[in-house]
Amino acid sequence: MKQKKRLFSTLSSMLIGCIFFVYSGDNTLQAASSKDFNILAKDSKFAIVRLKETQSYSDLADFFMGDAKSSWQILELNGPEGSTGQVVAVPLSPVNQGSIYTNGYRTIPILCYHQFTAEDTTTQRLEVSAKEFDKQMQYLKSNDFTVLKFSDLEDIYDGRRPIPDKAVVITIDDGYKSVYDVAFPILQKYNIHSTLFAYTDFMGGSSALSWQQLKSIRESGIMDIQSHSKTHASLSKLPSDTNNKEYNSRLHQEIEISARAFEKRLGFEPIYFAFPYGNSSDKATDMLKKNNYKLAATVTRGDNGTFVDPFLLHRTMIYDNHDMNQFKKFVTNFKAKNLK
Amino acid sequence: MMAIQYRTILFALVVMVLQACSTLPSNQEAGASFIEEHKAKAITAQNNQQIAQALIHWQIIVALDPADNQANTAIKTLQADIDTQSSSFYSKGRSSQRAGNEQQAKTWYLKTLSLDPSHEEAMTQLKSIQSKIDRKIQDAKSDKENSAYLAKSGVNDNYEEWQILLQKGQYQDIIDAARDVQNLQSKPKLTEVVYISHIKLADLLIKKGQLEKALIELNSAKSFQPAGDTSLDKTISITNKTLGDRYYSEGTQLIKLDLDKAIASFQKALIYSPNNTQAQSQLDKAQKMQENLKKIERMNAK
Repeated sequence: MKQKKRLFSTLSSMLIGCIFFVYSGDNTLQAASSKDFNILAKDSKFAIVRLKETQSYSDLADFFMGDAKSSWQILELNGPEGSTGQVVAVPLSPVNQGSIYTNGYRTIPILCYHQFTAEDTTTQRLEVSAKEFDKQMQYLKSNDFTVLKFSDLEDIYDGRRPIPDKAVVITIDDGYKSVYDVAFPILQKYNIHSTLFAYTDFMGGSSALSWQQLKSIRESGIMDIQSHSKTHASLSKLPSDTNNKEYNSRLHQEIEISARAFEKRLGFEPIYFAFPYGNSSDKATDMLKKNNYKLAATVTRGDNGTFVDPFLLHRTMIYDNHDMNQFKKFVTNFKAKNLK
Repeated sequence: MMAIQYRTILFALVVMVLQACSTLPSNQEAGASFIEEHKAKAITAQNNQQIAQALIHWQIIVALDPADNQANTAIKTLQADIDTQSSSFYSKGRSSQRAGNEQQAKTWYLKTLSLDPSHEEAMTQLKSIQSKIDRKIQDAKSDKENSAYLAKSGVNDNYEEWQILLQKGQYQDIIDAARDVQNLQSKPKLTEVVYISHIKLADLLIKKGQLEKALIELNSAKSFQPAGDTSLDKTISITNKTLGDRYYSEGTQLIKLDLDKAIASFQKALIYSPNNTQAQSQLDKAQKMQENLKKIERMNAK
């Protein structure tokens, strides 16, 4: 009888252990190793893997590509995620880093907002009502857009990452109070990331965000804060810049001194820049590069294919009179062109 | 009672484990089906002339089965095709770029990269073209805004600012701004800039062959001509003579074809060169001929 009980107990433990192994598959508890994956084959370009129970494309992308967000590349190669036992090809490096195809190329629409209002009606062109902004963000969310962080663009324009389908970037310029009161809660509601380009002389003003608000926005992780200069003066050479020395000194104020203000008030140095009025110059770009900036944006409409100048990124301004049909066009991220 | 319950649980567990194991095909079976699936995708892509896409599917097959003959042969053929075509597209892009046709060059580089995404030279050239296009847009925008700034800020009589415009070749902006400056003639530094602007603009127009417009600028420059400067008078004189000669030559060519037009040309020749005796003589001759023709027409009408 005792022997029977011992045998039963041993068998039960083995089976429960086995079932736990088969059904739990909780890989999040510790870092995955190659043993966690059923790798059928691997060469310099692809790993061919069989999905285990509870494993997803994101797990494969995280382990083999170093970034769970790259799972869309696995999806494009293999089709929709299947069930346990599905054989999957995982690209070990991007198969089309230029995102250029025989029927056109992918681009990244970068939207640029300024002010918001809680009212249904707006009082100026650059103001978007909460209702419209909510509709626009909801459209992105419910249509599975990939809202990239501005920082994601660094890898893309360095050729390290291709452009995902339905990619879009949200930016907000200046730093008006309404960003905190109106836009921020909507972005939080949909969990959509954005980047606020603030100009430092404006911060703390009566209609502007306070430095404390900027700090809490940044700490939320949903909105990045970057530089939009010190005074919001145009960075192209103006008639008042009577000589190069004067112009350089003005650029120094707008680029370097504003960076010091961010560092002092928020404890970080900005690395992305939005040109006030979208105006730049070769000199301004050189100074940005010298000061470790990685990307800069204008307000010139246009495509942002993988070949765009990372210091002259195009952005699309969103005005109060833009309807949803126009918005849908703005976020289209494929430029059709017959390249056969 | 207890033993029955244990047995039931044990049975259920065994069934679950066996079920979990039995539904999955073996690695070999799953691999074979995976290869078939990618072969189908490769062939479809090839049929649609998406050879870069086809190559990827064949490469996936080889990653799983390095000995797959069909895939290895296809890779060899497609790679050769891609190399040949992309090299030809890239060369065409370079030629277009050298000929100054940047939009066409851009298309050739895009074609190159659609076939061979790793073609670094094509990407470098494409980036360089795009950057140049965007820089031009930026510069044009800045120039436009600076002109507006000058007009709006009421600083359009600032000598230093006019000097900058002069360096940039924005002669018309200076001339336009000068119209709004009160007592301009009492500001010698400004009048000098306006004078140079008219002359430079006239030079550009002469180079374009637009001599009449050039003469307007030269004559306008006379209002700002520095004392003792005779070069402007010489230029006006030469331009007048050139224009006079041009109209005289036009008149002589037209005299047998269209008398009215020939007379108009000789008249213009004399406006620019009043002392051109040949033009005067040809004009007299043409007018006489026209008079005679009219007499004949009147006689025929009777």
